[in-house]
Amino acid sequence: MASFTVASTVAIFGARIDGSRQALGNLQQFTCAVTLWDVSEWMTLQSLATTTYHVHAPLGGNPVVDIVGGAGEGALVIAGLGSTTAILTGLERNSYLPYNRTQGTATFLITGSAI
Amino acid sequence: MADYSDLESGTYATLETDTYFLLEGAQVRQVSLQVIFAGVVLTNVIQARGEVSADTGWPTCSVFVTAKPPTGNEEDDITVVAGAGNNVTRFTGKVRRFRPSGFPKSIEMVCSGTLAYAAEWAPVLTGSTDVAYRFGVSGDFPDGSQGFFPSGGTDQDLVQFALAQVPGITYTSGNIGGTGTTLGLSAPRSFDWKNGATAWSYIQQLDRATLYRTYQARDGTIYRVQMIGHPDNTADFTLGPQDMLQGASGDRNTEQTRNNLRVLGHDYGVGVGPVQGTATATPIPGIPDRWEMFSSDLIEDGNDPLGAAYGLTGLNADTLADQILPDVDKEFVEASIPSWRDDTHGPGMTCLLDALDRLAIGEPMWVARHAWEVGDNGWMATYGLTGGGLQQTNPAPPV
Repeated sequence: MASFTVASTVAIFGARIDGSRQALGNLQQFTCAVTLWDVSEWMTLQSLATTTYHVHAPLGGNPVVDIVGGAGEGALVIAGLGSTTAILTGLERNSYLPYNRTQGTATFLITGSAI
Repeated sequence: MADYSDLESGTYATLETDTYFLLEGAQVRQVSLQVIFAGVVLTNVIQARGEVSADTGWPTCSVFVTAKPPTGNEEDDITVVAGAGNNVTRFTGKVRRFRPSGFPKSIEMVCSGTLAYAAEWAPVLTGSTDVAYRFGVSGDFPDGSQGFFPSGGTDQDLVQFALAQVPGITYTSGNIGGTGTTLGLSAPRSFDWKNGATAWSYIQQLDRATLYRTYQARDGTIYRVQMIGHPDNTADFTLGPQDMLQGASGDRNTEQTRNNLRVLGHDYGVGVGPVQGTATATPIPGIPDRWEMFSSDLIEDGNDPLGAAYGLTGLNADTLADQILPDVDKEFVEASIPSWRDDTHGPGMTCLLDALDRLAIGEPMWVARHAWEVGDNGWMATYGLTGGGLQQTNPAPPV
């Protein structure tokens, strides 16, 4: 199980290691394979996305992320992997699965400690 | 209620993980941009950018929208509040133009501070020919001109008079500083305001001769303060590599260095040329012995060519030479620094540029220009800095 929380909104989802990956950039980009059991869970997670942002990379020191449009930074907790802060920058899913279930991926830009 | 039991296999809880990244996280900011035009908050703003420059005098701003606002036209009020946490008024002024683009469709609203009106307004009194306002006399003249300041006036008095003539400009007299020196008693004709000469050109002549600058801050307030363009003894803020973005650049040169300065003032027509003042210094080792010339007809006092003082009233060429010399007898240092910082900074402040390893500059610099932009690329500011030489007592003006 995993959760992503921005302010008082909590999105719960299942996080699977198969299909998940991470990439190096100015910040860690973490793509997580997710399973959602209900449309409402997908809608909640979608409401926490940040669609427009910019990462400033100073010549020295840590990056600065400007949130231009979207929910912004939240707390990401993935059971067995760890917890950190992140912004949800991408979300994709199958167009159809039975019983409202969804499998897809959620992409996070890790703004706290790398996980 | 969702049942996650089916997912036990393949979840992180049951598998070993590790972290291979050395990253330390980031500072996250929420960017804000609010534009109020003709009393209406605009809801279709794409981007905005602005600038306050000591040399320009008034702030400028451009706001990009998807369509022309249904309310408001040119010369209506506009205010931009923006930042990335420090959300303050970045610009207050007037919309001067609409500049549409066909594709991608957008309209640039070009704005400037009201002080720009001073550069567009010039006196042309009915019937007058050459001079509009005659200094040091009173009454109306047959040629249509009018007398003003019959007993002389200080530089701040004259600047306020000029500002007061311009429609659309408001100022507070307490914000218009000056040398306090009574001008025009020795050479009143130098202070005549000629027909067709804009208020801004008249003010700039006074500013240049007194080493003051009249400018409008981001919030629309008009100030006149002493700005020699030199860093203060105490830095107001610091910029280091952690604040700087790609594109930061610097320049150090001695091509503009002058260790001698001659100031020329008014020529009284007695056959010895204008009043003058001189300041000299030993050349910086390796730099040629060179002269800088500075002249203004508004300087009424100084020395004759043999160095004897005239002892007149008004601005003194010798005093000005001493004040200007430190600004030219130095290694000229300049820098342009893009930064993510959204502090409330502006011209006249002193910045400690702590970037010796990257820009070969690690010294206090004077802020000559502060530009900003906010949009899809977040918030970014660009500092135009000048420096070199020794710091002086030159505290920051309001920004």
